[in-house]
Amino acid sequence: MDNKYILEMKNIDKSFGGIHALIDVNLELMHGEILGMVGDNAAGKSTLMKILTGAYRADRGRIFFEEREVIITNPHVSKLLGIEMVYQDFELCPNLDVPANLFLGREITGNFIRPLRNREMESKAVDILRRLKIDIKNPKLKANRLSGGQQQAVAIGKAVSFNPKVVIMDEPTASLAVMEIEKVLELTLRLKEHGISIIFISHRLDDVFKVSDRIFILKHGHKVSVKEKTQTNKDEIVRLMFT
Amino acid sequence: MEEYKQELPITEQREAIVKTNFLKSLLNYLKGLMMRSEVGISIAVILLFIVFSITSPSFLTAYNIFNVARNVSLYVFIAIAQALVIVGGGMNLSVGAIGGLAVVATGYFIDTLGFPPVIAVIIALIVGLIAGAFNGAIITKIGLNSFVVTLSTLFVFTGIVYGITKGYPYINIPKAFTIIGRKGIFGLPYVFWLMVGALGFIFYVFNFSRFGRWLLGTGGSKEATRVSGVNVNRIILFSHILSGLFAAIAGVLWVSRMGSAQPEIGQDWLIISFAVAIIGGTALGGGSISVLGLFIGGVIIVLIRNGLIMLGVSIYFEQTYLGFIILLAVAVDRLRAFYYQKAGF
Repeated sequence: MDNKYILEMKNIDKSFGGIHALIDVNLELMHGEILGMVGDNAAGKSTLMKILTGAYRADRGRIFFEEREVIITNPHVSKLLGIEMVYQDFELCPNLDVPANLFLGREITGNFIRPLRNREMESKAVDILRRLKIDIKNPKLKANRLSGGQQQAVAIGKAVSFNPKVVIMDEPTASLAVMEIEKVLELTLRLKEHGISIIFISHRLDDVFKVSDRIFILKHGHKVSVKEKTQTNKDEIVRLMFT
Repeated sequence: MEEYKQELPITEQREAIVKTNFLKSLLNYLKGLMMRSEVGISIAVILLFIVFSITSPSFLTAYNIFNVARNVSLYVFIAIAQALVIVGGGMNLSVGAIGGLAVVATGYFIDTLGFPPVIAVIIALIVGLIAGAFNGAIITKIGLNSFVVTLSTLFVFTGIVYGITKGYPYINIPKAFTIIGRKGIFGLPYVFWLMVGALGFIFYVFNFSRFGRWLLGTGGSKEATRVSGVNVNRIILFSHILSGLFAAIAGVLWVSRMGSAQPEIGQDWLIISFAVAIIGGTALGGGSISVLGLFIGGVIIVLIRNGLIMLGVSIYFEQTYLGFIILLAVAVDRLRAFYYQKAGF
């Protein structure tokens, strides 16, 4: 395996009953790159990513992560490898504040009866927000008091707060107002600066072209092509997606 | 006009800004305070105290205060049993039936089998844990709605209670067993101090334990909590086990207070559990709980019941009053949430 890749998915097949969702798909993700992923509805994007995050098991195929073959049986294994996912609908708990959301499932605890170290988590949350330049004045606000862009930023912060190696962003701008999309795209580029490899799934070609290094096109469960951003344009991508 | 404008010296300008900021912060703080459910119900409690103190001379007597404190404590235990499940986005309609099982277990093992009370209490608490685990296991393993499951087990457990007792109470309960339910210290009943301990435990759980944080998360968004790596089903299961335990504790304390184990104990707990929990600020949709609110909610319900009796209002309509109070509490909660959103808090 070529070590310029952090992740390789080889010959991935997945069927649901008689429906072939993925057919012999190969995907390579380089260290520190943003790979845009596009395709029409039911092209297989979500299925491929769910295999990578352990929500589904592939019927056939192999996954290599950092040059080692891995078997991702559930989302926990995926997280242990350093693969995190950011969802379209933020996936935050609206009733919890920013630190509680950032650390949900991975809270910092003390010894003995393991009490939560709330102060430490608050302080680390402020650091994470500052490091990613996420503009939230009061981290003690509950998630439902934040704007859509702030919520998505917190969701991204949550994904990257445990030093992941790969972040999958599934339509991260789909639920946002125009003003907030730019901020999330800037944040995505900042993650790249921190050396994180990103798979950026989106229907919005403008967003894909703004952040991606390469663009991966899926159609009806088949990999159609992978294009360098600098050597293609929107018309060609649309043509590959639909014809 | 400009030439007449008199500018303040820099220091005075600074002081003015500080004063304005302070006033703004104070106003925002007061607004935020009024948004808290505990504040509204605390005002209601104070008003009720004033009204009942004026209208009934026996209201502020030591005996009545002791009695009110004891009832509040028992209601709070029942409300904790309900709130623990509501906070995770579910409900437990079998709270009273589980309490009834614990009552019968206590009576049966003390009266019929002659077990020492300590052993009988331990068995009763285990019965509560098992009943809660049964609810939780069906909800999480089969994937049924908590309403349907606990409605069914309400009848299952009540049937067991009447099947075992044939409707007769266990009356041979040792006098020593009633000390906790009838006596007190520092002018307040022992059960009151037990309640303080229980509320302290709940405060710890929801502020300093992973389980509490995950249960709050589950109530806020089950999916978000699940994708964060939390085993949501295990959390729901555990919340039902704890709910069963608290219902059983309430049952045992009720036996201690009554001095007998009567099978009908628990039958009116359903409405009490919801009334105290919801009035106390536990969101019906899940995701929030207030320890102070649970206590104040208990005080409100007991004061209303107590006051109605003192005012000579027909007690036969009691459930109607409680039902209306719950409706009022839910409506106020909705209005508060609406205002909260509008005010941009």
